[in-house]
Amino acid sequence: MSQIDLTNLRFLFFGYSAAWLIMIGFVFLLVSRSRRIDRELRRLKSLVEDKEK
Amino acid sequence: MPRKTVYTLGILGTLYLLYNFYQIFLVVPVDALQGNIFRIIFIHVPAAFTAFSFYGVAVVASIAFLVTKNFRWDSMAVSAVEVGTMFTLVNLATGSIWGRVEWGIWWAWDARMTSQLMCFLLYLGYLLMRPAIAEPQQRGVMSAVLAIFAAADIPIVFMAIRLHNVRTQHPGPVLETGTLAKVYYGPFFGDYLAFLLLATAMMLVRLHQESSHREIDSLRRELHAI
Repeated sequence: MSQIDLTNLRFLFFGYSAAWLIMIGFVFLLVSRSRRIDRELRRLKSLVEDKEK
Repeated sequence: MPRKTVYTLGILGTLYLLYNFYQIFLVVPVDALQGNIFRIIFIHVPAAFTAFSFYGVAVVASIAFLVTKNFRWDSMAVSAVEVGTMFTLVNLATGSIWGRVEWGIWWAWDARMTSQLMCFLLYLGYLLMRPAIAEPQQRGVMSAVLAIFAAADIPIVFMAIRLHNVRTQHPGPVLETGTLAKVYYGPFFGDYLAFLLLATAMMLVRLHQESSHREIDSLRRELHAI
């Protein structure tokens, strides 16, 4: 395999890795934000219930 | 949130993407001129198509919000913009890596690349602006106006490689001119469809988060009133 072919393959790997990293990073961001929102929602609901008692 | 729908779309999108990767790396022939790096096109271009599809959704939702003042449209717009911006980043990153191999440079300030970067920055500005406006109605209106304004950049990105008097480093349109061989169409459009499925799943999750946000706001107001 020539040097050009190796460079091509290396950068192809970088390209696909970058795309996956960005997408997986975004999914992690979504999941962590969902958890935070759900936690806050539960906390507020219990606060409202406590105050109404 | 229709959890089942999100999981179904996510799993279908991922499986289809993996099938396309099998096609890309093991079935379709290598490009005679560019070699293996050419295979980056199967992510680079479908990511841009997906981003523009979602910016289109954001524009329609923004217009609907301006007309109806229904916050569901505002939620849809911000969800679509967020997913679209992520795919624009995928497009820019893969394009830069491809350019490094083909042109020997990471970035060229030509019409196509600069207008695409502008598009990314405009929608990033949209996402950064929203938390800075506390009043929901004002936030919705300003966001909708910015989403529509930013979409004016999309035809510029599209035309940047089609105008004869614009010099560009970027190659011309491969689909209209037939320079992309038919054998590549399967994984090319397949990746676009897989990205659309995944992006729709992500947008549904964001929509649910926005509706939870509205619920949190109303609970806070309720707590304040008690």
